[in-house]
Amino acid sequence: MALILLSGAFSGWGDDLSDARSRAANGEHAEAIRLFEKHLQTERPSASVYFELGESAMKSANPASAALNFRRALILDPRFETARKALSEANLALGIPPDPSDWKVNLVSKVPLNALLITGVVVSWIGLFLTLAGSRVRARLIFAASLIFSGVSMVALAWFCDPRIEFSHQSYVLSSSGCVVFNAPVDNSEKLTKLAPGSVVTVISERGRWIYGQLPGGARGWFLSEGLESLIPRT
Amino acid sequence: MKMRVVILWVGLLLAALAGLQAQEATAGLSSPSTSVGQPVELVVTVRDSRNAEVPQTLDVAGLRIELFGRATRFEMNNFKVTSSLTYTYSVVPLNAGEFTIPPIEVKVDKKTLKTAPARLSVMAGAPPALPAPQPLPNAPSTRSDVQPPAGQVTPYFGDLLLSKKKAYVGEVVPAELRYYFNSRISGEVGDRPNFGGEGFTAQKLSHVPKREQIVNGENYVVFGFQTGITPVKSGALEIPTSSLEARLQVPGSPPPGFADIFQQFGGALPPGMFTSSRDVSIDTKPVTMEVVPLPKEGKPENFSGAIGKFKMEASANPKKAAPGDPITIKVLVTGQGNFDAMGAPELTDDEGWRSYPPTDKFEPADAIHFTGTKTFEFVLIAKQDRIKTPGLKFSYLDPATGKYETLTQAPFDVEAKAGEAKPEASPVGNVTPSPTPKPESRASRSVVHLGGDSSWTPLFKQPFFLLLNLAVATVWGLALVYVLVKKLLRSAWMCRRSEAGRLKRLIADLEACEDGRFYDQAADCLASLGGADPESLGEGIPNADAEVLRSLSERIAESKYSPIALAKPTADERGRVMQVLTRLVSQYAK
Repeated sequence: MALILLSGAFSGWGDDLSDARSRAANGEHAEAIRLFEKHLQTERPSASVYFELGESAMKSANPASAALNFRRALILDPRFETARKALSEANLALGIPPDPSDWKVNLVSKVPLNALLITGVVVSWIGLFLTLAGSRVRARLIFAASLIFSGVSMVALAWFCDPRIEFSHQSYVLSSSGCVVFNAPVDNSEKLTKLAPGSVVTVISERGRWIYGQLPGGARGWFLSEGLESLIPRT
Repeated sequence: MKMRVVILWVGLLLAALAGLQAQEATAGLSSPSTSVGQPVELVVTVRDSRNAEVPQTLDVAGLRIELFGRATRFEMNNFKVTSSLTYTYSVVPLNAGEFTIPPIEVKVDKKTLKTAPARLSVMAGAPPALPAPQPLPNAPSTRSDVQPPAGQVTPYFGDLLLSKKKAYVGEVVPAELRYYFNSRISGEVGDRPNFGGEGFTAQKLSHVPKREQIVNGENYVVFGFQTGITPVKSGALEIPTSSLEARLQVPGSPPPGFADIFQQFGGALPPGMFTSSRDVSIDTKPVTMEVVPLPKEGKPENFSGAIGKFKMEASANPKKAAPGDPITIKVLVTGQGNFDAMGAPELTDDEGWRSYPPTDKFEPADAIHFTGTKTFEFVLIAKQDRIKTPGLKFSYLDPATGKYETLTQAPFDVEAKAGEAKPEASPVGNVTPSPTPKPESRASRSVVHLGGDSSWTPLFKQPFFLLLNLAVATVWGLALVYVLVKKLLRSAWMCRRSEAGRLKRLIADLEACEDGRFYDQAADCLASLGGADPESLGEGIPNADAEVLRSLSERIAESKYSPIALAKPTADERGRVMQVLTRLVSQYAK
């Protein structure tokens, strides 16, 4: 019975996605977007589906939405080079500068973070168990300590570089008219600047419908939450 | 009589306390900016001192600074006696530029105090950004009915100073709101005045450091707020008054009969001894500006609204670009003017290049965003092979001459190959208010990607991962406990403790044994303690005990080989042996 239910669920899962893919292939991007979004609302997130959604949005002349979905695909899989290339093109279409490439981006685009984390944890535990095996032999103790240090370093690196941690407080300007940055959380306060769609801001705090955040250049200001979309979808 | 003595003592005590107050020296300029040849005043105030030494002249290249005045003041406010010395220097700028007047050393008694450095901005020829202090108005512009203190000195007044009275629509005019408070009065001043009106926009008010200034021979503490006013329409522009709230300590009357006490000592009541608190609102006078429209004559097509005086510098990087690689042209526009309304320079001869709206970033050099540097970054990708970048053109209106000026930048020599854009475009600036160009059509990319996570929660925050690690941690903890217990059981202390327990049991058995086996069991006990030979038990055993043990050893030997082996020990012998063995066992256990 359970197997029947499970297979039924998977067949429904597959139907939505296959339908969305076939619509996208036929050029019905508006419908494909709707189906991809429906799929993502009900199923587990997938880098591939976000990428396909971004592709459809890009073809529907909506580069802001496309860039957001490419970013989400990259958060789920930082080694997804095709998504990175697509994001770069979407950014160019939006007229905003490409994301700076730092050592973290270079690392996560080459090293699988989960593998790094699991290796680090296993190595740490081996080191910890070795310390119990006998601490009288100095060489063994040093070996165990170095294993623990290496393992903890790998875990820390995986934690530090994980985009789901890095982007957990970042929001994305999705509104096609951009997002005005105010000096204070009041409608008629001084306007500092206007962020173009596709810009990413770091959320520092929230007060009602106002968000206090940091702009890409380091300046700070208040935004209305209506124009912003969290990079990591809120469940 | 007794009351008068008490008052006298209180007065002396207060005077002594006043003498203990910290001395300090401050310096302030009458204006933070001026032009060449226009003198400003530098006022050095030394508090809580009656005599001080200051230098007659100060050596600052480009400035002539000479001492020309000295004043001493004593005050008493609510029993608080303060005295201050004021030294006034004349500062005559000889050259244009930014000057820092170094800390001035003031010798007070045997101490040397130093003032904070003061900054002066000197403009060449042009009128100063903010004019020199205006003469004291005849009547203070206040709304309150507070009377001036004795001596008929204006206690406070406000003033709005504009760097110019005629401006173009869109031009930024630096302005300063100044509120003067006579240094004889004290009080609290509000955070900032209300400022605004129709027909202009104003930058956020910026505090100017509090300074002192002599106006009509009186020393005033000046609270200043700088801003930039931008007229938005032509015609006569009236900048309304702006009010600053303050709570001041104004002169009050002494309690009845108090003045008589001073008269009986042959003196008079010191002025300012009694004050009362008053809330006042200090207004600046309204000022009218003449605002003229931008001249139509000679207006360049690429004029983007910049009004001021600017310089332009540009650079291009990289010099060689592979197919699809971008080249970034960085343009720095530096100077004074309306940076907020300034548009980007125009690219010239950009055929064969694909360009995107430039990013811009402004770094102000002052608080009112009048001076600074605006950086524009153009990202260019060659559509055809190119050996030169586009050139640049930037036009602005110079309000001093009323003419448009155009700055140009020749194309840079580069080597750029045509091709599609790659994602690794060079990093450029960040804040990007820019229009959205229409996305270009591109080839479809059918990718069904199988990698990546299927959760927004990182692995190390997922429950199964945490539970798994918790299980391993539990196993490790149990293993640790096992290892520690094992070590403990094998320790010398534990072995000795268990041997002591066995010996105690042997002693108990020995005590219960009354027949000939007593010697055998005593021999076991002795062997466990250290050997059959009592000498081997070591030193520290009393001679009497050693004798008992020796006798016991002999009896044990006899019991093995002699017929009296089965003889029972006498009660006395039992008692002595038991006593010695019990003592040895308890020593061993310790």
